[in-house]
Amino acid sequence: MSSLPNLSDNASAIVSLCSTIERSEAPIRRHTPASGAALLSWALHDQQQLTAVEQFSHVHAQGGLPAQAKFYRSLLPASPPGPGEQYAFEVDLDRCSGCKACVTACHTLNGLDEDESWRDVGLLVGGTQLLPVLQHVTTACHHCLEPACLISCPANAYEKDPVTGIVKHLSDQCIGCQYCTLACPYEVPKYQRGKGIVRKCDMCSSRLAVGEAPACVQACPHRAIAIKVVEKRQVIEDAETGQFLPATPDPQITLPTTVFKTKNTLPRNLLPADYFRVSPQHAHWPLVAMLVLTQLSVGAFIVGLVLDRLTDQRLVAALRPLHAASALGFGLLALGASTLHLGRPQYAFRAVLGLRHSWLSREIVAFGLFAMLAALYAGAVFFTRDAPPADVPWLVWLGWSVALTGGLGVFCSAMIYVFTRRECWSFTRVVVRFVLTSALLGVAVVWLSILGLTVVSPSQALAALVQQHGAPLCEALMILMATKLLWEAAIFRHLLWRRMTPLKRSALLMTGDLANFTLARFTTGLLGGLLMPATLTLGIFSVPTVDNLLRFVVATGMLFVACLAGELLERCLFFAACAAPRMPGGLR
Amino acid sequence: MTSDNPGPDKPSWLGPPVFQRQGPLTEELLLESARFGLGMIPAKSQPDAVTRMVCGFCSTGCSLDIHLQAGQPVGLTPSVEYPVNQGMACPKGWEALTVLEAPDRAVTPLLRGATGRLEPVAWDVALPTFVDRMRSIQRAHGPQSVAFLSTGQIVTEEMALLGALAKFGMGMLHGDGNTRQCMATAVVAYKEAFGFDAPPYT
Repeated sequence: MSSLPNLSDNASAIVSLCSTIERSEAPIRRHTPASGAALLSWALHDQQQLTAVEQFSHVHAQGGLPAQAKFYRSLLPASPPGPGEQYAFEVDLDRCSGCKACVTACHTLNGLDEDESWRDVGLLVGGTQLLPVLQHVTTACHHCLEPACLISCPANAYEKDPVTGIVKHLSDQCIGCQYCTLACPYEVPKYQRGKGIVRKCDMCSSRLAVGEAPACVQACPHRAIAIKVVEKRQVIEDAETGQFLPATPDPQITLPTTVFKTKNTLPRNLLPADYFRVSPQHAHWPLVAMLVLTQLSVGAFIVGLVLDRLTDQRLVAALRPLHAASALGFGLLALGASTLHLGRPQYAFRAVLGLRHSWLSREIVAFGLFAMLAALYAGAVFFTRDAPPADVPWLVWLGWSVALTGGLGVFCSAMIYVFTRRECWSFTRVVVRFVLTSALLGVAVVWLSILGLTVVSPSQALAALVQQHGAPLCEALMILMATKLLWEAAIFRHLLWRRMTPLKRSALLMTGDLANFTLARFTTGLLGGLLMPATLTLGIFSVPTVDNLLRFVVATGMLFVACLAGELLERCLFFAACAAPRMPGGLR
Repeated sequence: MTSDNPGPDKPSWLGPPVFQRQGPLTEELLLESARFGLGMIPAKSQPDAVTRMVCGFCSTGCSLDIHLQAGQPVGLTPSVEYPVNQGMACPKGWEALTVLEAPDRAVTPLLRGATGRLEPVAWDVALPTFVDRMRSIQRAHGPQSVAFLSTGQIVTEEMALLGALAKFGMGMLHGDGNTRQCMATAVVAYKEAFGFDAPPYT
């Protein structure tokens, strides 16, 4: 017990029995005790002063380093990064025992919430039966050269320090959209539901600034984590050759700077301990509603415009105002739903700040424009409903500008997910889904409008419209839905593959944990997109008269509701069944 | 993702509420240099005193510095100058304060009352009751009628004190460590895996 002050043997025995030792910063009183009792009380008093700690405290107050520094001094770089360099974590895999002291110390020393830590420990397993290899991996933010979190953030709530290269999240700027949690391939930013914001590792930048080590570096009993200065050129070269860590996301995506080093040759069959585990992702209900309804709205406007061009103006004139109004209504509902997704909706206006780099900002701007133009168009259509088309030639142009901005919005929506580079969210996969949803729900809304008008003010023109164009509308819907269901079902072919690809994970989730959603999705799709239109085609096109009115209302109503429900379920699976890339996890 | 330095737009002309670098959420994560040579710790849990304790999770005997605010623990750091753990702790040690918030933690003696339910009582009630009842059992059935079961979660000195108290103070004849219970499963596994009953030496 070299740290304890000099005490007699008796006193030190007493000290070791007393498990709590109060320390204060009272000035040290030194005197020579006369008798035994005085000696004891002096010893007790003296050990309460704990002079060694006081010395360190004194040194600290004068700008020195805390006592703990002697353990981590060698784990910090001697000088700050120069041009073309930045700080990075260096993990010595040969030293990491997987004890998770770094995880708990990060939590404690940074004062994080319950269950919150910015460092994780995972496990890689491999080798042979005779020589099995268990490689623990401690991992935190990689402070990437091209951080996906920063690029994706619509509110500019991330900064990359120009000198240290540390990627820092600005809590008070964050609006809680959680896009960074989807964009980061390493699951680093984590959403704090109670606070409505995301938080992440900042390499304890305030500690580094005063020469102290980050919490994890301080706490590792094996000195497995160090801070190094790395050359950005080296990081790019390492990413080019895929040098990062086995079985982790492609370093090309964000150019992570963490260096995982080992003197051993890792076995070729090394895989994360949780490699074969598939678990559903968050479904993001407000996003599900927002995506489906914006696409419905855009699709409805476009289908309405196409209908305008292809059909007799006299027939479609009565339908146009209601159709435009319902398309607008769904569009506005979608934009309302999107704010429910934000952790801090009161700062939603910040979401346009990242226009130069974030697809989310671009989407918001495009849909904002779309909503304005759509409102103008719906209003114009309503107020000019009795005017002949020749009198309002600009209406068509306004209509197509609505379609164009809407289409742009849907494209931005798609790019939000394409940007994450997840296999299940490849450009083709996302765009085909979104375009088909727009088209088939656009057609479904036409049926909703027809239904509405049939109930509110049935007319000869409407009956003629249904009779002439009902069949093509139904056929279009059936073709679109059949194509979409086949496209979605095509993912099940990955079940036949031996290799555990991300798409096989999606297929496994859809047939396993999420089987009910899958079943419901295909049932509603078949009902709304095939069965109901088929019924309508077969039986109804003798004008919705009083005799078959109820049948017509039920059939068209079910068509729309089932189509919409089917697309909502599909979008739910789009999120929940998309296997996210991640760092190796542990045995669970 | 092609730009050399994808830094955010620097909206220096923008202030709150459009661009807010500081605020209550940022302050929650603020670190400040603590007294007592502790280094930087969260500003919200700066201690006004530090007390030292031996970690209670296993018998290794690591020392932890408990950070106190008005006598209440708000954080901990492993003791730097302590020879056993030298400034380090395992994850259980780092979480040594978590048990303080356990809802079923014993913070006061409990005595089964007339209703048959355990009721909190003061120490000056609990201790004499305990002594009286133990004595009466020993008087009626002999010293071998009472035994103690120890724990692996106390340090050697405390174990010695427990033995002395039970044998010389209370006149007990029998005592056992909990190792026979809690290690029983491990022992079987050790025997099956290594052929002998001991943890592998790593």
